[in-house]
Amino acid sequence: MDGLAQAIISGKKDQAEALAKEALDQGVSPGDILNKGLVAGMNVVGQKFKANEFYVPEVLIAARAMKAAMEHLKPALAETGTEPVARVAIGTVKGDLHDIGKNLVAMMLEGAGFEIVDLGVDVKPEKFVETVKDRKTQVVALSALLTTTMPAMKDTIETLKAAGLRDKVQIMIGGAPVTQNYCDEIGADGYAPDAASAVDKARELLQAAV
Amino acid sequence: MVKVRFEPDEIDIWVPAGTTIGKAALAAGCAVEMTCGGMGTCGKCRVEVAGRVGEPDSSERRLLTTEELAKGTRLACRARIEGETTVVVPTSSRSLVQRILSLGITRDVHVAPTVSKIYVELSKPSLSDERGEFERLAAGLTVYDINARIGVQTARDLPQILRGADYKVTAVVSGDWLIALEPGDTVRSNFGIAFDLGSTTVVGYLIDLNTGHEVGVASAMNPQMAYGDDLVSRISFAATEPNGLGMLREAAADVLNRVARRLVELHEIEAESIYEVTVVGNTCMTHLLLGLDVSTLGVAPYVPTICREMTVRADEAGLAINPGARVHVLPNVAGFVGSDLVGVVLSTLREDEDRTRLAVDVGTNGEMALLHQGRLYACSAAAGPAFEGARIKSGMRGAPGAIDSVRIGERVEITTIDDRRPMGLCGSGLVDAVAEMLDAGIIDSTGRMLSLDEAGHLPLAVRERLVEREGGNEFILATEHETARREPVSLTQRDIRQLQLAKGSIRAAIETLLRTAGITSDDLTEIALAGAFGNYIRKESALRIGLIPPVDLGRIVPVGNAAGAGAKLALISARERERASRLAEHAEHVELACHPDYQNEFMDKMLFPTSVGKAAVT
Repeated sequence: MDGLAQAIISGKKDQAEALAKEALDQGVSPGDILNKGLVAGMNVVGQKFKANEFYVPEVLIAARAMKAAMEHLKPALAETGTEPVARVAIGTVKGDLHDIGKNLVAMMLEGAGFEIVDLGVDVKPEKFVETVKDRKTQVVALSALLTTTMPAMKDTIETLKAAGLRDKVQIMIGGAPVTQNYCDEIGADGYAPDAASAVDKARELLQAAV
Repeated sequence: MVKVRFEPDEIDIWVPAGTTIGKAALAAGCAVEMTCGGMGTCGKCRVEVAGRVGEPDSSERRLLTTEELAKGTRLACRARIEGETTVVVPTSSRSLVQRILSLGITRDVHVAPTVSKIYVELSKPSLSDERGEFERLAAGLTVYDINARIGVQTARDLPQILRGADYKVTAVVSGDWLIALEPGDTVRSNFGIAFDLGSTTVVGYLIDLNTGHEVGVASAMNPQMAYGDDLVSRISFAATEPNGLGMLREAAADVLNRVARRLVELHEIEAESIYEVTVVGNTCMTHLLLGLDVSTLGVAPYVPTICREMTVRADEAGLAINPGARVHVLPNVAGFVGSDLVGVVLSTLREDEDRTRLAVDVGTNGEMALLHQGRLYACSAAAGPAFEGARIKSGMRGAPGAIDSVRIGERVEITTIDDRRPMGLCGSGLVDAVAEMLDAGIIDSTGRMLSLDEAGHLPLAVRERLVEREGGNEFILATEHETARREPVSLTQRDIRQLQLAKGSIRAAIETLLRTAGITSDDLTEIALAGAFGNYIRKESALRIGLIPPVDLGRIVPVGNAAGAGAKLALISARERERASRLAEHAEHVELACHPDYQNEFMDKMLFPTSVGKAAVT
């Protein structure tokens, strides 16, 4: 499993895939492969990112390897009924097409064992509501890159409130112009400045909710 | 229609019988000096004629000697063409005025700027000639087929200049507009500047509008970087900061003025002799220069305020050149794909061609255009300023002292621009360094630099340049003993990551364009590599790092600053400027944000090929 984690950290996609498959074939439980291999690897990636040792490119490269390994795991995980840590609906808010940051967060969360429902970009508040209802996501993660599109975050929260879903989800926000202040102002549950801290924040919010 | 041949230019033109030689010469691009406005009083328009021309009139008989007339010397402003004629225009009679007339032109005039300077000697006002000062001047210009118009700023200075100069003045005309009037004969000083307003680097080319020749070039870093590294952050700044747009606009005008000032000082001309400017740049950049609202550009679906070409007075644009000078901001294609790409296409692609060609402008925003079967596809991908030396530890733009090539064998060999002591690393040097380091095995295909323990196989002279540091290794390209600043010039792990981001973005965009056109890189007959930083990326290195798809070396053509070249073309030729507008409209914009594969492609293409032509295997 160390080998798998290492392959992910160094972004060696083919190696990561091969090791994941080998482990499955050898009968290692998918849950273990996920936690001791993928999650462990992405945790290290997250730490290095926070320590400024890794930057966006390294994280993207590692995430690419992680996703490849994950593809092999998914069917096995479903089979054994392994539950994700939580389900997250993530998207870039209405009027905004920027998605690299959002994708990075999605990948880091996935690498931490969360199940991701990626709604893409330019997502209307109603779509978030629909997704929470249909997919029973416990976390809603909103991304915006421009101060001009940030207000859509407030709209999304209000729309969730109106649908009676506000207290059923943890709402996290992020993006270059977003701040903790703004988070408090619009009544979101949490803010994270980068993809790695987003994982920590998501875990924190879910703990508190228990 | 009657044929007239002009020598020694070897230009043929067809004109209606009865046209004066002066008018035909003007149309053919061999204009003659007609200082007296074609009144037949100054005698400066002497030409030699052989062929069927009308009889000399009273002015000609007065000004020309019998010997001259016998030889075939005539006054161009008076002599009328009746049948096939050959006209020799001596240098002494040449005017620098160039006008394109719709008068049976059969051949393109290549250098035809919109600005002409015309020296005239006008008759003074009197009781029998009480025409207004402007009308007097305008009459002197009609012989050049100019239907002169004047704006109020220029009109305010008119009488004083005319009287002060004894009615011997030089009119500066742009199209039909009189944009300035100068005492005496200042025809020789006729300049324009073509600007490439980049997000990171700004370049200006000083052009002599009489000849179309480039007199000099100067560049500067864009100070808007203080308000945001990239376009999106500048758009944000404009939206959030009170007077943010104003500050960005001033910064843009400032840097253009700084470049203009450098050119003016270097080439010892007057700023007031700069009468025309063309500007190319990303849509956002030119919008900011003009003070246009960029907020709609920042949110989906990314619409600019305007795509069409805009022309403003220099003083309106905040440029410290002749206040009446015309500033032409070339048209945008759509979204962020701006006039810089139009400039690239203008100078590198020909729309009437059969071949499938790709032009890639490697700047802060990687813009590219693909010409295939008569269709022009264009897109832009944010690359970041790595290729221009910004965000790179030892990065600098392509100036003297910049390391612009690197070879790694048993030793590390570098060259610098102007062979100065190394001061830093520019875009082409960066690409070379990474390509060589890949081949030498110092960087692996994920972009990671080896640690010292892994570097045992490297030659000593190379290995000793590998330095381990907190937060990533470094490779020393020039030691502190070798450099100008006594600090080493090195390439860090971070620098490589910046390059990966930039080249991944560009390569993914290229692949998306190819897919949209339904072709593969095998179908490309040519890839033109352009760069805002002015010097050339080595094609082998561009291939090696995977910046462009694997094609035969011979198909890669480095073209330097093609956007700037396009701006120059549009400056020296009104035809080219018109062509730019047609191109901008005809181009099909491919919005990468709408392509679901782009993200995955981007991540894939951030990695390096294991060797030229082979995709990364990790």
